[in-house]
Amino acid sequence: MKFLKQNWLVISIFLLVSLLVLIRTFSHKNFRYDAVKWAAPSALGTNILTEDQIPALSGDKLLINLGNKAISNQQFRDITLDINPESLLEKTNLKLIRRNKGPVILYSEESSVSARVWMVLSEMGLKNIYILSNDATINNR
Amino acid sequence: MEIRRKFSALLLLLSFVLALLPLSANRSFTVKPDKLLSEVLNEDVSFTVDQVAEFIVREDSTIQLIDLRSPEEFRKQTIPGAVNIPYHDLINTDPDIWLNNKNIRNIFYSNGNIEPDYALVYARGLGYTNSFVMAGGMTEWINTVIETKFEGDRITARENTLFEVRRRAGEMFTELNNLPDSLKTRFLESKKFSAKKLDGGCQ
Repeated sequence: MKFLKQNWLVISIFLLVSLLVLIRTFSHKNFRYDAVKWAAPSALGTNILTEDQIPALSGDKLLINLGNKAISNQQFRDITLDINPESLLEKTNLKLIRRNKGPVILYSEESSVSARVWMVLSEMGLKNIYILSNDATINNR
Repeated sequence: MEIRRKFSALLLLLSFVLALLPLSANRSFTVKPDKLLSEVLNEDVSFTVDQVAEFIVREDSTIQLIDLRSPEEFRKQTIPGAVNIPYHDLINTDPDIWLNNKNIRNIFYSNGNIEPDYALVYARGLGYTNSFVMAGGMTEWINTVIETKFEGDRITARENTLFEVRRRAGEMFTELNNLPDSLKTRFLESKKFSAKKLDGGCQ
């Protein structure tokens, strides 16, 4: 107790700095540390899926339509959300993605939109995010 | 004495906190997610192949074409003036080596796949706002610039200018890619990306 009284200033500064560091590190509103780690699946191509691969994924699947592309498989329509890519980071949308206990699959008629959104979500520390592709060029690496 | 002891303890504790910080902190995105997302979804971050053809014909020194394909693909077919930085290398090395010159607009392209889009977000996220993509990549370049044909009876002045730019860029592309292998390798070696060249400092 005496120690706390004598060093209250040092301890409170330490706690404050530690708290700020923890907030910065684990904040859900910002990007996470280590950009290379979060971008790695894009270099390996492990973040790309085709419709045929979706049933094999475990957990609750959530498909996010970022454009006007219609998905051919009827069974996926019930688990699909239409979200404008520009409003994807709005609190309610982000909450839906974070709360989903399973893979989140992005798709759009423009593969560039899905790719850009994927990189943003991935760098925010969201795991289990995929890009749906039936397009041969998307896997052309 | 008391103050000095407290100050020493404070410094010790702060150094402890710093020691806990991830080592890779310098390679993390620096902008806010919503700002980055709206930035990369904006059309201003894309150049068309015709715009790129014009840069090449004008020998615009404010642009740097970055070919994200493999070295083999790059050797096989190259857009004049491009440098080869495979996507894997771009994200696994310090991007400052490639993108540090703020006076140059870096334009990423590939075979028409999504790697330039990843590279765009990655580079802009790290604060390189001078990063862009060439829409459609090499596939679009071949279809639009190289295989350009004028069909019709009359041509407007604007169409004529566009056609001339494409023709000239196409010629430059063909000249470069028709070089014998030994000459082409030497040419590409001389164009090989050198970080020192962009540093601008004394050696």
